[in-house]
Amino acid sequence: MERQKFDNEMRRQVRKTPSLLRNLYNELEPRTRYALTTPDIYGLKRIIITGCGDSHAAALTAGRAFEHLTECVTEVIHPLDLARFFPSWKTGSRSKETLVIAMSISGATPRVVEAADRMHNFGAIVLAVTGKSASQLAQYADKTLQISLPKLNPAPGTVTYAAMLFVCYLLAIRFGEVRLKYTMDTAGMYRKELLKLLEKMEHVFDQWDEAAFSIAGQCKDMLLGEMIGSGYDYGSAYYGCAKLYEAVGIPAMITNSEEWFHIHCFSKLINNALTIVFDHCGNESESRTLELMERMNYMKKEFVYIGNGQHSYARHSFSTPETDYAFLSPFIQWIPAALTASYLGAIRGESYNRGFQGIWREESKTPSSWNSKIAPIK
Amino acid sequence: MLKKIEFTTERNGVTDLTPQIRQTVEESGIESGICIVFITHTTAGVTIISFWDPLGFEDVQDELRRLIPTKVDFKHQHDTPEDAAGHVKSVVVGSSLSLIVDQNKPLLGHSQGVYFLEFDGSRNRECYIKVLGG
Repeated sequence: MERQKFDNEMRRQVRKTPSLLRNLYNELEPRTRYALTTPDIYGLKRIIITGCGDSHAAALTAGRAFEHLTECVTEVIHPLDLARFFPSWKTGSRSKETLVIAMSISGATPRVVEAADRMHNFGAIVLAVTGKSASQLAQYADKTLQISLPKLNPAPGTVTYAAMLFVCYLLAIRFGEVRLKYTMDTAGMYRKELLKLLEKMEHVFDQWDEAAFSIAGQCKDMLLGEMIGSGYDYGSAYYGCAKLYEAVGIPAMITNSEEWFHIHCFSKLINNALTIVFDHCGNESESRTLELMERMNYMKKEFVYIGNGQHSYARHSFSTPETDYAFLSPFIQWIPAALTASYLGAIRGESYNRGFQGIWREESKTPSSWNSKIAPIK
Repeated sequence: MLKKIEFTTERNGVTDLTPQIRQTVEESGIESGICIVFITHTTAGVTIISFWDPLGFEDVQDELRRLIPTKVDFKHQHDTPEDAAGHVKSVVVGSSLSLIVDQNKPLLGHSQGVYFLEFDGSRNRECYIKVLGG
């Protein structure tokens, strides 16, 4: 098969992501400096990150980096849980001791808007991270950090996920710096490393592109996807899972290396699933991930490995570039997953999100991701 | 003659610059003149302190911190609270010193030493020493 024949918009957007983020850096970095005041940052006892879809994946990926850098309790809570189930007493006895980072590129995701409204009323500081400063989300938020992304052709989210992750890392670095968890020089090195990782993404792109096409060709008849990531890597697995639904249309499951042994291990579909294991050196659950791969090998189950740790049992592997800071490793893991999904969809002749046609059509009378009644709980 | 010296500081540390200043003056060959010590930083200071008791350095830093505490409501919020306090301390202490050169030596009292005060850090820092005859 000729790779060029299966070039597609999603793949092209993956390719341009590093240069887009690099161009955004000079305006985003100062915005993260002024997103919250110093007294606000010092008053925080808890950080909650929330968002749907790719934003949720970015929150899962970045959440542990927040905790690691700021030494402030950080939770990733889905907007549905935050909007409908989160009790007011959990925001603390004093206003402004909880920060909610509410992420939505459109600024119109109903559940995120609803969660922002509820948490604002509970006395939390709500920081909207959005592409639209005049959006509904921004109106409900106390503060807004705008990401000025260029208009892109419709395709499963790639740039948006990476941009959200980029902003989360910059915010986490900033909060830790202001709380004097490390020096300004160290914060500067973290920021430089983020930029270096963008260069590394470009450097490995062609090699990964070829490998992703080859894997997609070999896995074109797979019935489902299975994404495994633990701790810092769970968000990458969540993202990979989302891309299989959107680009390919096959169901996918997400788990960590522990739960895989308890549940997924008993599947009869040994080699009918595209299984991807996300991992990186320094991940505290690395030993369990190694056991997982050993068990898969014993079961003769083929899998793809994305990471920079040991992976001798993997049928295919994407070696992610080394970084001096383990918490930044997941920043790059999404690329092989996105490329593989994009080629898999193209080879199978799939339209993204089924072209939003037929039963997948989204219109004003049909409930959808964007069409949902905002129903604040009193 | 202009000499640049580079060093790494510790957080709230005090670095002795006296040996390099003495050496630079000697190397200049200037018997009588002025030696200017200048640092290119805004969160550090350069001053003269007695070197007999090292605990005196801690007293200087402690009292500067008491006078200009690291508080969260400085108007300068581009960097960190420690950085903002460091800017104020730097203004108070100053970023340059002039020493008289006599008989090819900096004129210093028997207990005087020239010290770099770090108000942030740890950081990579630099200091310029200029010796002028006349």
